[in-house]
Amino acid sequence: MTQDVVSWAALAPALALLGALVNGLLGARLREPLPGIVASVAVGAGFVLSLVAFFAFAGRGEAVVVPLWDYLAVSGVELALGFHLDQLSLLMMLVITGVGALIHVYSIGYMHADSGFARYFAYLNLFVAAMLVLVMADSYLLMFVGWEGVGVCSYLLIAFWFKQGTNVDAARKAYIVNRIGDAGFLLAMFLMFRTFGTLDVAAVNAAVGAFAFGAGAITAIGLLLLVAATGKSAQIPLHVWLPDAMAGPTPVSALIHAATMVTAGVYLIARASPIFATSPEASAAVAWVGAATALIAAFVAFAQTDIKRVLAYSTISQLGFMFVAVGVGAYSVAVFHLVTHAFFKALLFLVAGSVIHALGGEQDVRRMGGLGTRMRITGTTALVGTLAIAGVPLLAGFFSKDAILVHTFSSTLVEDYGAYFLYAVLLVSAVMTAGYMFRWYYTVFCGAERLSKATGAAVHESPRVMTVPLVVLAVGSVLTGYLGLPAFAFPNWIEGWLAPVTAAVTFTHPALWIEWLLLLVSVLAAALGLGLGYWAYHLQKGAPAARLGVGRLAAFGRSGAGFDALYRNAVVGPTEGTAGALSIVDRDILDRGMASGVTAAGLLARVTTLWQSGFVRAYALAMLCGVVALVLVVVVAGVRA
Amino acid sequence: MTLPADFIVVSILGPAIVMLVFAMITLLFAVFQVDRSATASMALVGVGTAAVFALHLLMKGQQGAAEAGFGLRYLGDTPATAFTLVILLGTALAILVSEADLSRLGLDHPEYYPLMLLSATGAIVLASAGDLITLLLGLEIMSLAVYALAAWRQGSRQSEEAGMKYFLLGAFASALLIYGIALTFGAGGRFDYAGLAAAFSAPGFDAHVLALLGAVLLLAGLGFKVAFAPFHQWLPDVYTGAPTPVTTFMSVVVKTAAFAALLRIASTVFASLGAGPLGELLPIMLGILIGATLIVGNFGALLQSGVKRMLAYSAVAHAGYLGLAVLAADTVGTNAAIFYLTAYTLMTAGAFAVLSAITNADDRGDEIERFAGLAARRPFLAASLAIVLMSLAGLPPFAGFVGKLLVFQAAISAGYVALAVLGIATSVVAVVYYARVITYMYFRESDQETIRPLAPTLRIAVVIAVVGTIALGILPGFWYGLVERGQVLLAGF
Amino acid sequence: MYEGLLMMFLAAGFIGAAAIGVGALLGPKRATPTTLAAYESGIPASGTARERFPVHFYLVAVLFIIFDIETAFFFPLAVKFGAAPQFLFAQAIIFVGILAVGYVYILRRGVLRW
Repeated sequence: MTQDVVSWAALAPALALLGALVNGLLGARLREPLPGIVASVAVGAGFVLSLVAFFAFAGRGEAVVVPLWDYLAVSGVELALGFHLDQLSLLMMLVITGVGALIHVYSIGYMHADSGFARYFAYLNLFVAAMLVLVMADSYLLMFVGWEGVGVCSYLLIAFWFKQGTNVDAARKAYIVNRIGDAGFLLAMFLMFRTFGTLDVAAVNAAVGAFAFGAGAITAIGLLLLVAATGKSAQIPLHVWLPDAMAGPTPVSALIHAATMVTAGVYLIARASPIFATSPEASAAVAWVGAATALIAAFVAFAQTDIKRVLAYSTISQLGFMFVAVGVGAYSVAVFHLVTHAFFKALLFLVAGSVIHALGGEQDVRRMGGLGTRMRITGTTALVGTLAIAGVPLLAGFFSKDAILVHTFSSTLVEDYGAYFLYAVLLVSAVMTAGYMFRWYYTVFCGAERLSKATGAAVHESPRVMTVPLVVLAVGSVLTGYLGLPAFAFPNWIEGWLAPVTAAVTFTHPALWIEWLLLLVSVLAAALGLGLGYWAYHLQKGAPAARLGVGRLAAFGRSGAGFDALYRNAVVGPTEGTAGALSIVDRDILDRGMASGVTAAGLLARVTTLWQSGFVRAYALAMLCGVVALVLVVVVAGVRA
Repeated sequence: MTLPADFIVVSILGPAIVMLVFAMITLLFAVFQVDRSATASMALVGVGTAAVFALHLLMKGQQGAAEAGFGLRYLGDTPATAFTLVILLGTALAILVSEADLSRLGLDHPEYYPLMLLSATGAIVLASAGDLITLLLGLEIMSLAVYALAAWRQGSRQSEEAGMKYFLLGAFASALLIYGIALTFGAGGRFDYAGLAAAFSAPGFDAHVLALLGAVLLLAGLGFKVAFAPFHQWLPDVYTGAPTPVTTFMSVVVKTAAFAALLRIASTVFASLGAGPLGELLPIMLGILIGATLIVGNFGALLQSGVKRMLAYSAVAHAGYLGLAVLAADTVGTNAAIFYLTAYTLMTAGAFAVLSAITNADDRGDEIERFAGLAARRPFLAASLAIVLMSLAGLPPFAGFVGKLLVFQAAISAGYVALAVLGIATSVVAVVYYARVITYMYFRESDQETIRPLAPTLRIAVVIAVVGTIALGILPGFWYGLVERGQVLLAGF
Repeated sequence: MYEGLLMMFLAAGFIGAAAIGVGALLGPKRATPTTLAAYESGIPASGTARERFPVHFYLVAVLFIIFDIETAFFFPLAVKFGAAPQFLFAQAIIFVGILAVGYVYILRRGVLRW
């Protein structure tokens, strides 16, 4: 019987899909808030199913496979579709449906009176369905279906308020950058099929064992998977889409661009952990991409003034932490941080949404301030979220971030690739995280009010339907940390839970006093960051920041470390032909540059149609040239042979 | 002289003969001025009857008893019948699209359907050819009718220019093809693929250069029909200039038949040359053509502001993807191509069907601005077009994704990794121009006049295309399984 | 192996040249306007031959070729008839049937009406 209970969880994506269909087809006829309730119930029911399955599964080792149907048989290899329910996917499902349900409920309040109310919930449910397929898939093929599905939903939701043209461009940019990652996924898939003869996740993971440590094929697959993960999880250099993706409604940013979809890359690497555990090169690449991202994004976050863009860069930075964790082989730790981050970052985004809601659409933190007293619940939960992400002890972020730091320090997998440097980079990033989050919290909720009169008068706490999810997420932001207490002295549940499904990587076990020291260093990092923030923004009234703010460094930070400009310039130079694909993400380049042919992609497109003169004689000449070339090749080769 | 007892097997001629007979019937309808919709119905009945014959042959192939006859000069094995079915599907969709629009577009001449059926007959012969003469015959029957159809809108410069261009360049390509046939015959002393393949791989065969010359000329001649760069330039002009229903027919039926012929030659004649000296040349040259096609098609489509012309360039790009299957030159590649072409037929016909519901009577007005806000005005059309475009872009869970998966897999397993990587990279570019249309439909405000009501046959065509696209994407195993389990008569050389 | 062909070409050339040459050498020569005019089946020529024709001429010419060539297709059929009599007979009937449909078509469409 227990078997059946677990496999019922396979209905979760179907329920979400059903919700999407109901809202998509009948939504126009349903009166608000009915579409929201339908959508929330669909996801909530998925959460209940996942929860039941989760507890029913506890104590079991074997994954429950729910076969769907036979998809294809290529070259004698059956590709069947099915859901794979194990420790990892059930945990992910809980996060997706749990946080997802809360965000659905919150959206009922946030999207109140929006003309696209039903459409919004249809997209959101569709997203949940695709995301569930992604984490439940038992093969990379089905995972790719979910992987693409979440990309499409993200595109639809970023462009949700399409009357502002820039939102549509942001959506297109997000989608196209993601497609670059998808190309990596596809290539990895073909390489896997070639190497292992199967796309089944479990079978691939089992087959990796037959390969030597550091085998070339495994490294290649790992690096291609890294490309895929880099696109989806917004890591450098494919992170440029995420800050722009903030154009979507804020609950969408919370669900898709903080809690779930962007963590798919981390999930992918954790899923394929045997591949990475076999290839230190690929792992080191993952770790260093993550470390660079964590540092640079944290730096950029200081310079941002949009309440959501700060959080977006913060998300990029935190995902960098997770990448380092999977890079050094601490897969369960990465998933642990994924879970805690889902809670506190979703919370922070929803807080930002609540603020934006209260201020009638204002997003510039320079025109906020002092809101903590006017919006008690929002302010308090924001403080919890801020302290959690800053890594203040006893809150969730502290335990997961400390675990990442410790495992980076004691890694053996990437020992030869500068594990201590990774540790140092992460430590600096952790200090900066506490700093910019203090700045964020302080400028929004503390200090003097800098609101305009009109918006200031209208400030109000958000309705119950929005604040209740905030409180629940705040509680989660505290409690989820206790799933993974430091293993050297306390019980650590999550490591044991995920151990059967992730590759075992050895870590050095430093002396106990070193473990305590590392813990202390983590505490100090958070304290230092917050302290510096307090000094700079409260005691000095932002003077140090103002002094720094005029420099080129700050401008560099405001521009997102110059990545957008880099892409634009790199591609405008017609010599950089290979960068052409990236240029297309830019509105200027696509719509104006393309026509004038100044960009590499535009130039290539021009050249390809240059001969399209419309004259038959020209076409015949081109054909003739082609034939003559072919014939000449044969004749020359024949003469030489 | 007496023939072998089992030389004449009429049943494998079934689909072609049925189509021919119905072409004659519809021609008589035209003569006696029977109502046009009755003519269309009769044409559809003909397509259906031919499909029954083809299905019968397909089932025989399933049981490993594919009928062989005429010394393997005309084939009734699984690839041939599967391609025949795809051709019939494309013809049916084209007829449905035509019927909705003929009178509105001012194309209402009685010879329309007979010509289309005759062209489809030629396409079937081409797809079933096991012999260079049969190939040429099929190609010309198919092409001559299409030349006339492309110029169907009398008095329209665009359409007449399209027909003339297609005819002149097509004649040029035929000349190359015939020259290729002559050289191949000169080298191998045979016309049938089986005999040629045997002759080329026989010990002591020494006319490799001559055979290769024949092969590249065959490649050029067929490359024109499938639109490999640099033989593709006619395509954007002709597709744009021809009336949309005719474009639909050309883009699905002509392409399918030409690829069927090319695949058959590639996996027999070309493959047998590949083992000999200089054998590595042919795949390299084909690879260069395919790479150029992928780049030209995808980047060319980026620039287009008209949706019809964008679809034309996308047809070039898809020729490149299909080329990957040709390059594989084995049963896996052929099966992948059959699946891809089935998917391609459904999605392309669907896209052109929606297009013809939106454009003006003279086929103008396909600018992308016209699609702004379509989702709000015509949710059914917008959703249908979005689905077929996503499928063309190769997104799961639609048929186009499975097709791409199969051709890339075929190319990679045959060792052409670099080209497969190029294919995957260019498909990133492809998303840009497909997504552009979707963006306009869903995320732009409409400032356009309302669109006329959808003709019932057009609705049927769109529904078939969309349902097929989704079904083939979710359950590809059924059709692919039928194809894969079938029997191939000319393999193993 | 091509000597026979060469001989045939030579013979053809010789016969042509001989006919003209012998005629020129032996024939009587009377230069009147009538004998110098181009031969147009006995009808006096009017105007130049290098002018635009109505497209109808071509149509009729093409039709003539189609219905004329049909007989050419029957020769190989007749030669190999013994190999598969029923099949080839059916083939011939189909062929004639298609031609008949074509004939009905051009008749009814008024192609032959001038």
